[in-house]
Amino acid sequence: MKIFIHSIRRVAFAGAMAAFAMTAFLAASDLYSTTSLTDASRRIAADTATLYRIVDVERLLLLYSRELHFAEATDGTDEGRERQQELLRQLDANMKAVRDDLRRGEQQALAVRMEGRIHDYLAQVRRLRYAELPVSELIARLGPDLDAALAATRELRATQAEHLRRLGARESSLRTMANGTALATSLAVLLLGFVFQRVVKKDVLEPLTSLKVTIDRFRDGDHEARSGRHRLAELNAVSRRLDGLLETIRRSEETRLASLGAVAHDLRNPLGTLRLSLEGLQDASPIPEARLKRSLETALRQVERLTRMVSDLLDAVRIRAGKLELKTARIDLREPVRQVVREYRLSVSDAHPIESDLPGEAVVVAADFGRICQVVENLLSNAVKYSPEGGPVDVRLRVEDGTAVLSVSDEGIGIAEDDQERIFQPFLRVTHGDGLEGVGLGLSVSRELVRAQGGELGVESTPGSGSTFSVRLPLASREERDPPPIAP
Amino acid sequence: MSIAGGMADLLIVDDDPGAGEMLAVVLRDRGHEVRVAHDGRQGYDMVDERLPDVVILDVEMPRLDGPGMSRLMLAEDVGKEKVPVLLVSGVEQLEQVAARVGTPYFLEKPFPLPELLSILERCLSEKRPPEPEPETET
Repeated sequence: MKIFIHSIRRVAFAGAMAAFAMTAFLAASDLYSTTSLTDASRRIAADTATLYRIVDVERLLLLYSRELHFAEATDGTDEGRERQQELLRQLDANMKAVRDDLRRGEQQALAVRMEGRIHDYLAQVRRLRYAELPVSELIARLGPDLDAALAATRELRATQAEHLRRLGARESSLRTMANGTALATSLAVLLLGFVFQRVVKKDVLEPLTSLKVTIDRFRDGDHEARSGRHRLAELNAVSRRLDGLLETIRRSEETRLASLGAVAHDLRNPLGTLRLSLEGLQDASPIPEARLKRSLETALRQVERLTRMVSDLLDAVRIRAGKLELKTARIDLREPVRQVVREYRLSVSDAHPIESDLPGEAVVVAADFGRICQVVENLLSNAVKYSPEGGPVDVRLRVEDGTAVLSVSDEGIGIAEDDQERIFQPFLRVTHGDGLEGVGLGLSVSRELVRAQGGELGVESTPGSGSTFSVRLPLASREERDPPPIAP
Repeated sequence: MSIAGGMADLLIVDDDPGAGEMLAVVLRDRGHEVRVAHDGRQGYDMVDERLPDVVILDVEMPRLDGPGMSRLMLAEDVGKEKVPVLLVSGVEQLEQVAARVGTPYFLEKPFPLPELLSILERCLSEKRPPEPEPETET
């Protein structure tokens, strides 16, 4: 079964064609065999009847000659003469029938000859019976003509018998052929059925079972279960799609678990510090005012951190679910930047001077003021966090080709090239030299927020010398005419 | 002062400023001398400056992480290798990290304060420095 079958349609087409061809062939050969057989049988029956008539002619001729000799020997009776007349009539009728039967070829010529000889004999009989010859002489003188007539009759009989034998042989071979055709038909039908059963079993049923088993195994928790390749194109396509779907489900399940783990993990630090700041107050009594203030400040900062993390988490969920709501309005992008920088300067140590460079005129974009603040805050907090040895953080806003470009640069540890795209994926943790650093959700949420407002957030970084994160937003007044923003 | 033998000289190494500072405040309340570093490199420099009685060490930090700093301390034979290390972190499978570092002292964040104090006390009385297993794996 090494024919090239790659598709159910082709199998079905090939099968249908084969079945059709087989049926047509069988019908034709059956029709031919039946017709030929019927025809041959009919002809054998007719020719056999003719043969009997020829034999009858011979018999009647002999009977007549015996009757004639007897009559001549005994001077005859009326009864004897009537029997002779009757025999002659029968002889004549039979000869006529034989002549009618045999209208072609060799037999016709022989029949004519037979008739001629018999007429010669009868003419001789008429001539001699009135010659009053003695019986013995009459018999002797009629002898040659009778022999010739009988010989001609026997020759015709032999030829007709031979003809019949040939017809019989032909009919017999036709019968064999008909039987052969029937046998071939049965075999062909069996073979076709077998082949179809094999093809259907191997190429259709088994793959379908394998698909079912794969789905069952996956459902029962084997997330590596895959259906693999199959021979038929359609099943292969289904299998490939199923495997792709299972892979997507597996990855999404993995991501979901990793996300949960990452969220729990990231909550541990602020929770730990919060707990410590409150617990530390329990047994210190009386509590000095400065000490109390410090603990409360720390506790409050942890609560703020936790709040921000939970907000980021909610935002990430909303973004994934496509339910992020933006309060978009025409805003001067300098405003949120100024506000965040002002607030940040108050909370960050002197080791991280924040420089801002804003244009003299308004930079108008269509955006959500609060969300822009969130993005700038996130970029500033990252810049500070990843500059552990201090160093300035620069915030710049400028307009390039109808696009507002807001960049936050630090002189911190930088980001390895391989990690520059990964840091924007939610929950991923990035290797940093000797250590591991959780990046949480901030950057992923920020990028999605910027994208939702028609912009893009990207990074350029050199490990060891710092990073620059850039937000690009189309200017509001030229929004329609501008090409879509390009990722840096 | 809950620790026998009086105050101890402690070094906290934690990249989370709030966490490190708060822990320092609480431990100072108990009479200890506490310094705070924000990553492994800074911590190593401070150990170099003056040997503490115990290093309270976070695991995940930029520049140089906790296990890396512990390894550096063991590399030289000038006393730093004798300082006990207490790993305090929120990383998963902290016990395995501690086994790799070779220290018997570790505490998962977030922790109840009494638990920290008791393990710190144990640390100060036993003074077992890290003994990492010889590196068999690649």
